[in-house]
Amino acid sequence: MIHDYLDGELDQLNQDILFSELALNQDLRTEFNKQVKLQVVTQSDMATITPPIEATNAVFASLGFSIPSQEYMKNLTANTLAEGPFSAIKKFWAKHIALNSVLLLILLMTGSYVVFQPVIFNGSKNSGADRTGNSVFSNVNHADKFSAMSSSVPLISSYENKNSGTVLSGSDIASNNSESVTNNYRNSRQVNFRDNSAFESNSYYLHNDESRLNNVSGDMIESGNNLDLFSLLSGSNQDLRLNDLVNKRMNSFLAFNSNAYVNPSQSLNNNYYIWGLPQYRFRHQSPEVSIDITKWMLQVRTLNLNQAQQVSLSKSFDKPAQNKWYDNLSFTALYKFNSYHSLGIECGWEPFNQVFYNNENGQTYRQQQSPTLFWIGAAYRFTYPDIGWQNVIYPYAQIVAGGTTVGPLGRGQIGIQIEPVSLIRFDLGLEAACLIYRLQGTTYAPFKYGLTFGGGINF
Amino acid sequence: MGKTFGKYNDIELYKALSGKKPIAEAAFSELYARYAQRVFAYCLRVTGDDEDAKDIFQETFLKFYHNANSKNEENIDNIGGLLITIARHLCLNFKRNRKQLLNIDEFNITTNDTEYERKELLKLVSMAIELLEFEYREAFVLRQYQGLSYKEIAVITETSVSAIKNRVWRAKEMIKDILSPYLEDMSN
Repeated sequence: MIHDYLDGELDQLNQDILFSELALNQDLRTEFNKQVKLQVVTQSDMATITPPIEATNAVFASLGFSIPSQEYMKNLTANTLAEGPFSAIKKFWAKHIALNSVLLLILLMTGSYVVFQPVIFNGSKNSGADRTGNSVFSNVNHADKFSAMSSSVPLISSYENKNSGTVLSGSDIASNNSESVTNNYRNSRQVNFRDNSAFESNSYYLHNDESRLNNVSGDMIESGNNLDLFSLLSGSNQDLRLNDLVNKRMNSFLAFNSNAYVNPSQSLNNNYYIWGLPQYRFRHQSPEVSIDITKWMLQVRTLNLNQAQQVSLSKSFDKPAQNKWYDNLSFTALYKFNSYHSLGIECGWEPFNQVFYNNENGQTYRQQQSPTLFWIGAAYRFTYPDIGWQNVIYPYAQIVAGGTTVGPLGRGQIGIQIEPVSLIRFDLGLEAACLIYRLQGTTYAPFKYGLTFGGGINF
Repeated sequence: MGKTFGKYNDIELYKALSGKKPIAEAAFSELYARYAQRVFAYCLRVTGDDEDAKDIFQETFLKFYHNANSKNEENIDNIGGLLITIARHLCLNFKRNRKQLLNIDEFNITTNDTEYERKELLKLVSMAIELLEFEYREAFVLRQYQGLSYKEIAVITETSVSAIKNRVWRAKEMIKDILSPYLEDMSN
């Protein structure tokens, strides 16, 4: 009965009888255990047996066939070896090397940032901070509240129009939530923000239909005057000129040890609206100044795309997947011209399924293969920060034109770019890639598509 | 090796062996990949000797290839069975030319060691199998190692299913008795 059970030939009724007996009879249990162990041992033995390489070579040589490749022999061996837990883990790692590498990279980058930039995560300690954009000066007694806050939160107190002599104090600004300051800044040449003042675009608009401050700054930029941003930001001594910030997006948490928070979502030259429009917001919500002045971007992402053209490959004879660490990965280096446009290079390694017809000696063979190809090309990326969510998530599109050893390659992707902090970024998108190659006068264009994701750093 | 034959079944590949050389080579390679391990395991466990197993293994595949090219119109529907049958005949010839050298008295297992190395265990199993009579050993190997059904074994060995069942059962009992000290150790 035990033998029948292990052979899988024992019906349910007899199985019940067997297990009832096993429950009662110690000797039977011992016998059962022995039989099971014997079965396990023979299976283990079978898994270790592999035809010797010399025997394989001898067989093929005797028949006048070419000696099988090392890969083939390895594959033959690999198919027969028993798989332990470590080899299973190794196999899993090798199979998903690209995905695992990206996840590991993201983990390392995030971990590094948390360790080395903890101030970002401590910003909420400031009790006066308002991350939601709601004004803390919404009550009637703005001035009192403002001055009360100034003790704990150093704020920008005033800005001054030297030419016109107009000075707006913090209390002026804060005096009424809906109050409009209508001074004319048309002739302004320098704007200083000093001491303790707060600017919240959602709450304090200095309406001036004739000349908004963005025009002022635009004038200054055009006329070559300097706007000292760090004198503008709580009197910091750091020498960061507004001119230098032209074309640089200021969108996230790059701390300057200042006590004001700048979180603009637009480039300064185009949309430098301090008042009236929400693009450039001076908010008292966090004790950091966040300015993205990065120019370069390095990125790694996965390329596990679906092959539009399926091939049926022999596990034994077609070149098995190499599963090198760089397979199905791409690396990108981009130079950011401005908030929207970036240009650079991208390279990667990934398999392309190829099905083609090969004419040999008057006979046409349908051949299929899936070689892993290295490719490299020029990359253009368009980011559109004007729309998005919380200055953290933006849409983007990217195209690459390049080539492989077998022919040209084009790829394109659209997706979202996530920048929780200015240093790091993540991409999630839809991607399509097309390889073009010619063989015996025929052009083939295998196509791939699917999701792509990755991470990168800005610097 | 560039052409892919993985999608073809055994019978199609077997027929392709009599085709043009590149086709035949690719087909043979595919069949070899599918059955080499099984055939070698059979040869090794039935002969109990590496060198003999190697010789029989090589001879098996050569005969198999020549058989496919012999323009014999026999109806082949089980390539694995055919290969094992060829190997079996070669093993029987080998057996006729060689006497069993091992004696069960020489086979002692010391159970003092609490842990056997895996390799040593497998060596013990193979030695235990070698102690069996040929028909029991064969039945046991085909059943336990090759995973063939009793019916398939009966066809290969040209014996009845019940006789094969009996042989496998007796082989198991004998091996179990030989390995008993170790198996008890494992059971605890």
